[in-house]
Amino acid sequence: MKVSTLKPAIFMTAIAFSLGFSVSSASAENLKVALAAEPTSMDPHYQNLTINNSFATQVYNALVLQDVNQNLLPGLSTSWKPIDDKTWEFKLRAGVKFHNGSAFSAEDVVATMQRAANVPNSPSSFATFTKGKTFKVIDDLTLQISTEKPYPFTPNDMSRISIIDAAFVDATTEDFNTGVASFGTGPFTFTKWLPGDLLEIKRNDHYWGSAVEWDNIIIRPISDGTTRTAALMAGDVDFIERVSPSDLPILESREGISIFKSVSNRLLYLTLHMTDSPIKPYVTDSNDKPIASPFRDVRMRKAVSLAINRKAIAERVMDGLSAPAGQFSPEGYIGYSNNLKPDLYDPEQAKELISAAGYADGFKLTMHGPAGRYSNDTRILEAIAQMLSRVGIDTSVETMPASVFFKRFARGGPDKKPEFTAAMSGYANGSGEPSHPLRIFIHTKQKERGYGPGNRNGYSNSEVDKLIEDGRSSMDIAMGEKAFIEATNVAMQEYALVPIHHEIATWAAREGIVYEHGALDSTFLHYISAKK
Amino acid sequence: MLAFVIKRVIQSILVLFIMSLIVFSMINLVGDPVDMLVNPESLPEEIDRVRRDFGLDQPVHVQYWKFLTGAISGDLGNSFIFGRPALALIAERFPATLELATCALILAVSVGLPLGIYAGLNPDGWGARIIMGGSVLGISIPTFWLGLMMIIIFSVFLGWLPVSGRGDTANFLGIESSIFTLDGLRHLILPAINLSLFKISIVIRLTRAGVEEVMALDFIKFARARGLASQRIIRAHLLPNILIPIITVLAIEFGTLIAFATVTESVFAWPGVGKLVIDAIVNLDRPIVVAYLLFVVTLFLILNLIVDIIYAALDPRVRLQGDRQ
Amino acid sequence: MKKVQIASSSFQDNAKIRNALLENFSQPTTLLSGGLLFLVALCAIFAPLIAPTNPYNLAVVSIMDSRLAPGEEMFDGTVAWLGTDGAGRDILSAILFGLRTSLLVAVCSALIALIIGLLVGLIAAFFGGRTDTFLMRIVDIQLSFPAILVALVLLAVLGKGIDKVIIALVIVQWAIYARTVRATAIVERRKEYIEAATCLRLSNFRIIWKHLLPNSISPLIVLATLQTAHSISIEATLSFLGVGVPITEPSLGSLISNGFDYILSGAYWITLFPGIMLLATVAAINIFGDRLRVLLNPRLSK
Repeated sequence: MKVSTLKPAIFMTAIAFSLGFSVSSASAENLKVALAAEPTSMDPHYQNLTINNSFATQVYNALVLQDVNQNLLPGLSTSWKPIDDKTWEFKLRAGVKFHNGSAFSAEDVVATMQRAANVPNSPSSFATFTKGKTFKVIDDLTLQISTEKPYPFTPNDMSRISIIDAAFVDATTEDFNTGVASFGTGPFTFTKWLPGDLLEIKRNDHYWGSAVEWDNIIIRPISDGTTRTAALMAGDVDFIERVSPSDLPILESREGISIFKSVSNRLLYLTLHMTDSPIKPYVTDSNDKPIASPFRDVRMRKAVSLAINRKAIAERVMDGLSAPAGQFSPEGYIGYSNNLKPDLYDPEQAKELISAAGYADGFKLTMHGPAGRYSNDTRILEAIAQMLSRVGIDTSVETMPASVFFKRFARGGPDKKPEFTAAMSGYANGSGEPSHPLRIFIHTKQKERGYGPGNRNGYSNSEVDKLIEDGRSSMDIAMGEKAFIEATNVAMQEYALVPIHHEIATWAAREGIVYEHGALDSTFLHYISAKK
Repeated sequence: MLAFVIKRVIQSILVLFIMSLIVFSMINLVGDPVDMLVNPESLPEEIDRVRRDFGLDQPVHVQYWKFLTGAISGDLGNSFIFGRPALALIAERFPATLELATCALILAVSVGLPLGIYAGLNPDGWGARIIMGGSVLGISIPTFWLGLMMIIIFSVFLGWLPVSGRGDTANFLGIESSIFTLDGLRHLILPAINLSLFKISIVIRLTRAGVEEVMALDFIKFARARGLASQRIIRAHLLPNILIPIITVLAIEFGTLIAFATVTESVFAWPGVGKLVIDAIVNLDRPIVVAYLLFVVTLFLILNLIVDIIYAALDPRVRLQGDRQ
Repeated sequence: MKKVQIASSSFQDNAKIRNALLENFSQPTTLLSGGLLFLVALCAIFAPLIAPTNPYNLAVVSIMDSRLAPGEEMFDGTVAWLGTDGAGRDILSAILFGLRTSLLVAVCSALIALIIGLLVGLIAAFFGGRTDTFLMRIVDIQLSFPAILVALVLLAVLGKGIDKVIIALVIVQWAIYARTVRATAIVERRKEYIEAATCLRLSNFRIIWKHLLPNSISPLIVLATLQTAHSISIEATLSFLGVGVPITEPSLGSLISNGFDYILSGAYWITLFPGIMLLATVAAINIFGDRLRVLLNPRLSK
């Protein structure tokens, strides 16, 4: 879905051209890319962080790959299947060589799994994906993975861990940063990394998959959105990710720039406190006295959803870069339910529901949210506050840096309980397994079982819980997905969360470059190619 | 003199100790680093594991004691995010910031001082009014706004200079810097100007104020009466008398240039310490923030020491306190 | 020279001051800047009465009005003479209200920081020795704290709001005053007229207040006017970095920084008009401060 609008160039562009400025045509072999962030390490097992993981796919391969919509594809494993309720068998790809020349075999996988779970000083390890799994080498190219309980998502977990050469099982993170140990099987080889400045990779001529076009890719981290756009317009770089919504019009009106957009799986949602204890200070009556959360009543949650004009937010705040949402997944993405549509703006019905719930006299609400974490986050909150004020909920907004927000969001209240009554946050499914958002946000909070760590509003429905748990232990993946969609339907109709929108991910490049994109807002360099 | 310096060093160590205590407790008030580090999809035991590994499960005083014992042996801890020694990370990025700050300071003095003297000597002329008006602009325009504006004008529309980043570096007399390559200089121009503009304005205003004040004094009138050339009056009588407040401010400003180049570095994606530390603050990477602040305080202490010594040299009336007996 | 200074600093009579005042305030630049400053202050104080809409009332502001060009009509029929911002606020009203916030922040923080800095600087310079050392080391610590860290911590501990921004700016700025005052005062301290005053057995308080202060204040006034202007820009930068005043109650600085996002897309008015207002205010403060400096400096007053 390529968008190249040829509106009449605005005056400034005209000046630029009259001064003889033109987009420099970079050589076809080298590509310069500006990304919003850089990896924290070159060690693919150091930190389970989105930017690290997406960069790791350039130098390394996992057993299972994910396409841009997180569908599973063969990687270093050509096929996989469950051989019984608790065992999966993976057939490995023959003839693959690491960048240092050594051959890939099942032993490398076992070594990798051992290292991935135990990197010293890891701020977020990959142990989550190896826990409870036993790896057994059958022959050089066959591997069996057994789990303690039936677990249908073993292939998903295996798509998260980059395979390294067994020779480097004891390599330190520093060895990967300097390049001593960073040999993968991926489409690029690691050249050098100057933290904060640049990161360089080179084409792997012996890649087992389809070869990439670029000899070298130079990546520069530019965190400021306007600077990134400017770097592309000035021809300093050929490709950027995350165009700021407000910069989109000028890029669209400029000749020689291509823009790529797709609805991402990053959801912005509101969570509304729905139990009567404790009484939080963020909802007060007309005398400023705190009252129990009105959102215990499903009608009030629905009223909030109906009062939000999602279309206006998309057009006015996001410059078209959001798609109204009614559930976790965007259309066409794993776990999407056809029964759920985004709520349409209906302030009249919202007011009726508020009256019916007994809050016709209104109340004061303070909403919280992070500043600078999601695209236009504070502006969206401000717009929502306007909309709620219009249906009689006197709303004010308090935003704070993410570092402050997430602590208070998770456990800022008394007894380390979640602090806020109404808060906006975001979510994107990193694993591509459909039960993930349900396990995190919807299931009743049960810490020791790993359920509901993100359930901050006290939503609890035993029927939904059962659907989630059944689905997660069924080796019949189609059956599981049906259960998850059913659970999603019920939870969303009860407004366990109020979905706002999915962000539309953007990339921009000088003309002649194309990017294959999907629901992931990360950038995968090997999908950038020159137009044929 | 020596007694003075020794006394200062002892005080400084005390300052560093208090400083580390403050920063340590401050960061703990802000948030929990674990929220910023651990991927939310991780299992609960992973969160506990990270908290344990980084010692965050301990009471703050225990954490501080651990830090202190490490600090005495020169280990300020590993960055939570990068897993590498915090001091090494700072040392790695420091040259980029130093070259940016130095260029900005040179610009500030070489542009600000002559303009300020001119404005002070001809206070009612149009030139002075334009200079002073410009200096008001330089102070009140936010740095980030000006930086982005400069990028839009000079890089995007005129295409003269690169938008961001540090250019090629070269090694000269053992110093690795982008000053020594043409590409490096081209990358340096915009951020250096951006960073220096506020300082230029301050130097202009301080110089002008000093000049006006000194020119009204009797010894200048006397020098004029003696028929000395105005060039000579400026050099021999004016400059030495206006330098003290300017040096104080510049010393502080050089510290702030280095310490707080954060905004300029963020806008221009300059790979310096400022960018590192602002990311560290945002992500609650405590070891980096603590190490960085200790580093900056040390820098300030040294600068202030130098300023005090220069005072003594420039103005014999000021005696160093250690010498007083 | 010694006699001249004693005469000008400590034995000024009232008539002299009155004359100096008159002379200074009758100059056109002083009148102009003073008048402008007065006007700006009036606008800020009476913003709620003169603004066409209330930009802080979320029930009135609507994103359906966002980014209207100057002169266009809003949904409720009001004409937005200077256009609207990204949230649909009338820029004219937002400027008036924002001015109020910005001036409050800038003046309060500069004033409080100045008083603290002045006291600390004078005490350090006058007493010297341990006191000086102790205070100056505190100043060193303070100067090395980045504004953003202070703001972040205050935000975490206290929550968001204008008062917190003022506190943060005071904490960031007082040390600069202290250091500058001390630098000038320490030179003055050694001059003969102070020694003369000490010989006359004047009280410490009297010496500091009557002699040290008037003679050290000149660079301080320059600094204070600069810092007032600068604190408006620091406050804007804090907004740029995601801390500062609440987004629903923008100051002049945050209007400018938010509006800048739209400049590439052509909605220049969101950042331009508040920018002009900011510059006018800052220029007025500075010119006025400059006159004040001439007035207050015993060496420059004739």
